[in-house]
Amino acid sequence: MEASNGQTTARLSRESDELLIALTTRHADSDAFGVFYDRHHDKVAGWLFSHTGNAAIAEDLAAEAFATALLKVAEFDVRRGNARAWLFGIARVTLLSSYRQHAVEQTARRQLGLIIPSYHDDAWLDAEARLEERLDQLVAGLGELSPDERDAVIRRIVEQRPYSEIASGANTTEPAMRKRVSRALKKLRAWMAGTPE
Amino acid sequence: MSGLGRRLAELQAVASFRLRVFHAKALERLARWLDPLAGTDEVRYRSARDLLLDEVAEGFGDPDSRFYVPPWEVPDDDEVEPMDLSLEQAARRDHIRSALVAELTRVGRKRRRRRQVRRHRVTVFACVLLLTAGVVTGGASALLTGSTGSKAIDAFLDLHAAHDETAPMAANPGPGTDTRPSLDSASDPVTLTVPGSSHRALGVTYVSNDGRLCFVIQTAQEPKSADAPDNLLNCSDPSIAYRGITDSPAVVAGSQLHHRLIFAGFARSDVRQLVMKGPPGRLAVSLADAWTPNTPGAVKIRPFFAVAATQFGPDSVTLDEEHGLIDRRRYSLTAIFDDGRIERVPPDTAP
Repeated sequence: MEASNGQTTARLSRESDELLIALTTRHADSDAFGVFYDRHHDKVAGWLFSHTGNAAIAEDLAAEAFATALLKVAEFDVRRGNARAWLFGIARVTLLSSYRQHAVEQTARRQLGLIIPSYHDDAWLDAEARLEERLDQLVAGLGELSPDERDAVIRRIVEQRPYSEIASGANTTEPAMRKRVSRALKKLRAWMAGTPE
Repeated sequence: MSGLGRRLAELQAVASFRLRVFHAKALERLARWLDPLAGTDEVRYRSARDLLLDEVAEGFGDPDSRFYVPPWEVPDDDEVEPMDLSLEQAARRDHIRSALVAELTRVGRKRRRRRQVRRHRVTVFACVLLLTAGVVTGGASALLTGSTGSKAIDAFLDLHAAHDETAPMAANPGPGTDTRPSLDSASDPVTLTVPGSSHRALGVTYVSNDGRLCFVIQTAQEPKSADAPDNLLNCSDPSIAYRGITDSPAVVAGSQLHHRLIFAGFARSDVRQLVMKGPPGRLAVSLADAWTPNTPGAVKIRPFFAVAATQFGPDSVTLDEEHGLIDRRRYSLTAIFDDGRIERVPPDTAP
């Protein structure tokens, strides 16, 4: 039986995220969801850690994100984005929702009747302070960009304007504008990571 | 630029950014609050998808659309350092994994049990439906014998037969046929949503005693009139379905125009969603779970039903309108697969 489970897992581990999600939805395939969990958990938790700076809280947020993914799995729509992007989207919503309510979101785990691990309130305050700091860093990092780059990033990322519109407003071509935004984001990431170019 | 000047420029940039963020967020929140189906996600994803996707994906912006982040917000694998977990945290991670998997196993078991019960009920339901309705009475029998009792519908059937190039609808299955369902070979029933109506219907596909694949729809809640068939019965040779889905993701096996316009057909088992559009607009397509009929050479298929509210009663529709509504060449069918591929059904097989 275990050997058979191992074979199933090995077979599933070669499949795409989208197929694993489809199997979970259509057949309530727990092996498929298990493989999806194993494939992405550490990265999602790592990403949450990079924002909160606290491993316990990152782990708690990741648990909530995966519980939400399980509850919402039937609503996953591949036309809107791939499964990995969807999962990180859930993680982001979980993080922001927690940030708004000053505590780690627990709705999905409560709904599933999962025991909710506890953490010290101070840990959350630390995490929240770090999030604030990162937002400030982001603002400061924008100040480091050239006016053209800053304008391109704000129009594209914050205001969600199409490249064609931004490019025509700046009297340049769309590919050039894409390159400008990409270069600016790279600079911004480097700035936030403490390694300005 | 002096140090003070640069500092002022920085402050100005920061203030301008904060103002823009505030403005954008306030607008987004307001839009979401006023209309959850509108909002920035629609704009965001519309610009990122090609025309086909745009056309297929009507109704962006459900409350969970915020889960779909644009590509630039998803970190690459090499951008994220996996977190170092303590033993306690690793144990917690494994605990959550086990709990989620166990939850899914429980759901799966429950679903399988329910499906077994439902299959059994459906077979009994189809038998009772056809036997008690007598198959040869009312609308269903009208379709079988070639006369609906309504001139308009009869005309429709003639027109339909003349223009049906894909698969014959079993308007007249001929003498000696036995369309009663054989036991233990029925798809799961599927609930059909009727656009513009709160009524629902139940659609089932089964293997008949004479070895054909039959669709039956029970629309018990529909308003009844003397010549309004409550049930659609449509049978076709299984090879039409099997051959059809070898060449194309989906095939239409039959159609009917009455209070509603209904198409019934089969899709490949890996088709996740079908989108159908035509003169009456978008049809509501319901796909049944994948099913392997108990017939020679059977393959796994997903029966589907597509329904449109036509606003036409059987006697108020003109022949031209009927022709337009049922002309299969005027309909487009698009299949979305489990792995996200999207394929249009070639025009010669589209309804």
